[in-house]
Amino acid sequence: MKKCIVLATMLIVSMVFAFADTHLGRTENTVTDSSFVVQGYYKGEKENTSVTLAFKDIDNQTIVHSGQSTTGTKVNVSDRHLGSNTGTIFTWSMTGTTTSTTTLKFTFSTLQAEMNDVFYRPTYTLKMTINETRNRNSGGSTLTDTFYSNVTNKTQVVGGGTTTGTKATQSSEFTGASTITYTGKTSSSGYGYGYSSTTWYRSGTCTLNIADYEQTIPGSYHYVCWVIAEYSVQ
Amino acid sequence: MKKIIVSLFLIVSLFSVFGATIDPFKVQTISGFIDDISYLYVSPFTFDYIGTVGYAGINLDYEDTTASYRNLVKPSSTPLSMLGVQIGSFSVLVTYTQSTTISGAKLTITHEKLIHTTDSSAQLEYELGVLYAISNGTTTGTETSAICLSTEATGNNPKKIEITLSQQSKIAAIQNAYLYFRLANGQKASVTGQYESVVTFTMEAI
Repeated sequence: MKKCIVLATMLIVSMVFAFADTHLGRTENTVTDSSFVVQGYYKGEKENTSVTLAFKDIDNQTIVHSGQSTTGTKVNVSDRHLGSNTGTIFTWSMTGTTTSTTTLKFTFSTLQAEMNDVFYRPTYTLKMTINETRNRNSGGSTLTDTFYSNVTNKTQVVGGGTTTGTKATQSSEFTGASTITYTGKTSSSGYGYGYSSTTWYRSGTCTLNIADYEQTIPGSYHYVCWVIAEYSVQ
Repeated sequence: MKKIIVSLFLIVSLFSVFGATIDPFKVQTISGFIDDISYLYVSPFTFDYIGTVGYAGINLDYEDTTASYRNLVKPSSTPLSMLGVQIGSFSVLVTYTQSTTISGAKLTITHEKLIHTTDSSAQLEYELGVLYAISNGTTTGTETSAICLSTEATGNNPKKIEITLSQQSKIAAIQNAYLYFRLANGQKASVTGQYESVVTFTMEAI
């Protein structure tokens, strides 16, 4: 009997070595614990950095421009507006899902007035407004927009800065040749339930107000202004 | 003499549990024991590594088409109803031939949420499933599945899996039961990085 017990003890030891994760012992009055770690990873989504940019004229007709690529290419836009001394020249819209920094820059030439091949320099104000909206799916995540405007030759800036709501509006006014640059990003934080999209939508209008519209010489005046729109995703 | 008889009996049981075969042309190492024991062996499944990034384990992005098992990770439309991707296996053997006070053993399996290794606020609930069949040493019972979450939720969702090992033959074994993983309802990873969760097995006499 003694030999039998010795043999049994040796065999039990050999089993412990054979199965490193084994827990062995008497069941009576004992608790046997074992654990292992489940590992998982999330390597992140491959971000879609494409941005859609579109323009429409005062009649809500799409302005055909020279072309548009995903990033970093200039888009030349030209349109004419003849009418009263004030009104919207064009509207623009930009949408995307990227959380990278997006920049949209407008460069305006000086507005010129022309009648019968005679050019004038009108007194005018251009007003740019921007609206931001974005999808916010329920639960778990917070989205923050930071789409600043930085205007050269500005006469007035209303609003601006960081926006944390679901919609924000800024407006800027300027005279003469000018650039206006919107830079910012839609960032997200949070995790868990329901969060799947950071789709954002930004749109704006460009309104022209001609102060000296009332000319002494009657006729048909042609006002021309070139606008170059550029955007980039970084 | 009685113990020797018991010992031989258990040797047969061990071969059944571990699938060993006897080769008549070689020297055999005979493993066995006397007295009552409990035995638990857990074997995690090894997943592929993303070499350049250095992550390990299950790809939690069930929209990643490069992961062949993504549909097994994706939350089921009917929670706690479908086993997911296999993450490991375990075997159990308990005997209680000598004791007059115990009638078997109870195996309890619990788990934590998946927690981001550097951002503990990023946590993911998942369903842990098992598929097992209890053997009495000679015959194996019906295959059974069970699924649990890390926390008890509404609707009496279980937060642990309990398996009772009790047989009239006084031997109960589970050989190579499978462990499964599936993200819980509504869960989707959004914080990039490595996640880990501890699965705990507790076996006690009953």
